[in-house]
Amino acid sequence: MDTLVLDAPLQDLRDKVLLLGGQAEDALSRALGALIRRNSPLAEQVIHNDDTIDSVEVEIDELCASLLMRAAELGPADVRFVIGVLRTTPMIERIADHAVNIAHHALRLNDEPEFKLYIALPHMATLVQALLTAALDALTQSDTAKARQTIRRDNEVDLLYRRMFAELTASMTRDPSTVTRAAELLFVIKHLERIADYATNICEQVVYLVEGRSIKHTPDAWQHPD
Amino acid sequence: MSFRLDQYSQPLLEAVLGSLREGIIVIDRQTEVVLYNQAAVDVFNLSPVMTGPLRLIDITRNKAIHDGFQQVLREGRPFDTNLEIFGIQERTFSFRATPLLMPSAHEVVGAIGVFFDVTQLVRLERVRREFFANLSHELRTPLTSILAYVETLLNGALYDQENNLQFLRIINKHAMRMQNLVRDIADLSAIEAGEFKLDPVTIELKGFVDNLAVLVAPEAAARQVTFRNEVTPGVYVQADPQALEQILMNLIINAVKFNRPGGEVVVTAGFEGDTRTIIAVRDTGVGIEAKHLPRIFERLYRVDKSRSQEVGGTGLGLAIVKHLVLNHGGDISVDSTPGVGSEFRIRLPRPPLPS
Repeated sequence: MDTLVLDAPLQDLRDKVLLLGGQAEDALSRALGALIRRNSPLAEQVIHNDDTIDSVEVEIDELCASLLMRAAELGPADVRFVIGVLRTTPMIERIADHAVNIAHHALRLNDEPEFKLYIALPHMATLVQALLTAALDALTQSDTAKARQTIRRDNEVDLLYRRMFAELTASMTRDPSTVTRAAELLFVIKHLERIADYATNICEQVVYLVEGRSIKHTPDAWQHPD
Repeated sequence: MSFRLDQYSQPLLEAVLGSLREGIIVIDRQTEVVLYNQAAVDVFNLSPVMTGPLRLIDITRNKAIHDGFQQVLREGRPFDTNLEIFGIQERTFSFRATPLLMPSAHEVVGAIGVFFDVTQLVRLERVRREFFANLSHELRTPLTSILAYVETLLNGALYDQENNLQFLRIINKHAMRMQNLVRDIADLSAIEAGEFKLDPVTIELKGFVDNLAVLVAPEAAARQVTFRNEVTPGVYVQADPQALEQILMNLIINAVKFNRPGGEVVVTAGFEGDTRTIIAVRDTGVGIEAKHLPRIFERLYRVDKSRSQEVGGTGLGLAIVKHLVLNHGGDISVDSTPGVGSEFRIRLPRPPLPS
């Protein structure tokens, strides 16, 4: 596997975007821990830490701008890298925002009696966490094979999303006392589904960074890694 | 003694680092990784495909770790913290970073990070803290009652012919409860310390359980629970009779108490291969939620704190059962469906087959 060789400012940029990814990963894990283990202090940590994530995003933007100003000195791969970072950073920031939203839902759900329909939720949570970690690993290691493999797994999340959606709406009809909690959970699974989409988008950017081609609008491109 | 370190330093360094349980990562000022050991590979789940120059970010995206290293590089002083790493698995590490100084250089040339997995220690510490919190709760509750009734009696109720006996009965009940708890704690520490000597003999289970049925009968009748001994005649177990009685009585009484009126408790047993005997105690009770199952054998762990007064017991029964079974070289497991019932299964040695 080839590792991208970058000069110092680009290294710094890479460090920053991956660290931001790490913070989003951490925020998601804590938000889901808050939800599944009914641990409200974890949710509060996520909400509290979001400001740092936002400020890192601004730093990365400024760094990208200053690098693009000297674009003439950079090679094509370097410019592509900066563009890739500019596209990836907002996705990571959005993932962190979704984690914050999940944390807010967790706080409200933890004040209510436990909802017994949680069955598929831990499964979906583990899967989405695994996808996000795989996407960020692919980004860290410039691993296009892992990126393509991760894109393919997004279907599993969509499947679980539809199953849980049906389960939750059925519960609302069956037992009106669950309506409020099921509604909160409907939002939670939507956030999870969106996070998985962003993880897929990050993987598309990994392919762009390494191979210089966009597979975003060619849904079958991941099947032809040549 | 002279020792030419330069000749051996590389293999020596690798051997020493490789033998450590602590993950070690050494970085330079540019956060490029200079050195890491096998334990670090395990801690950070590093992929073997990673070759070439590694940066700290390639090893971990954890911000707290990066911040710790940066602080050491900046300030030149050691940094210590406990890290909670959240992920699919949640782990706690003790993380210590120290500045790397070289005799030739006048500044900090890098930083050494040491990672030690303390997940298990933290868990045990939590169990210990909860045990003492629960113990003081379990002792205080009956004690508060006793003191209240004694005070009432001293303030004149002693001569209240209608109530004085009733008050004394309540005091007696709570004192017994405390006595049981103290006895169970003593038993448990003796078993855990290995002071409880087992004297295993061959026991025919059908008859053994029949004898226990007599002891269970009053409690079962009071709760309208049917007790059935469905042990096949001719099933034997190699166990200490007193310990086996304590094990089975604990399980059966629990099965009766956490049952419903009209429910039943069934004991079955059979051989598993040539070396094991399995005994199962099944009930039709409230069942145990999955999240509680891993913890029910912990001392004083209560699934439903509000019911503990109602059903009695010291909260140590299952811990005692577990340790007695383990001391026999056996094991215990449980399956449960909330609202349907639970089944506890113990595996104990089967008596040696006649040759």
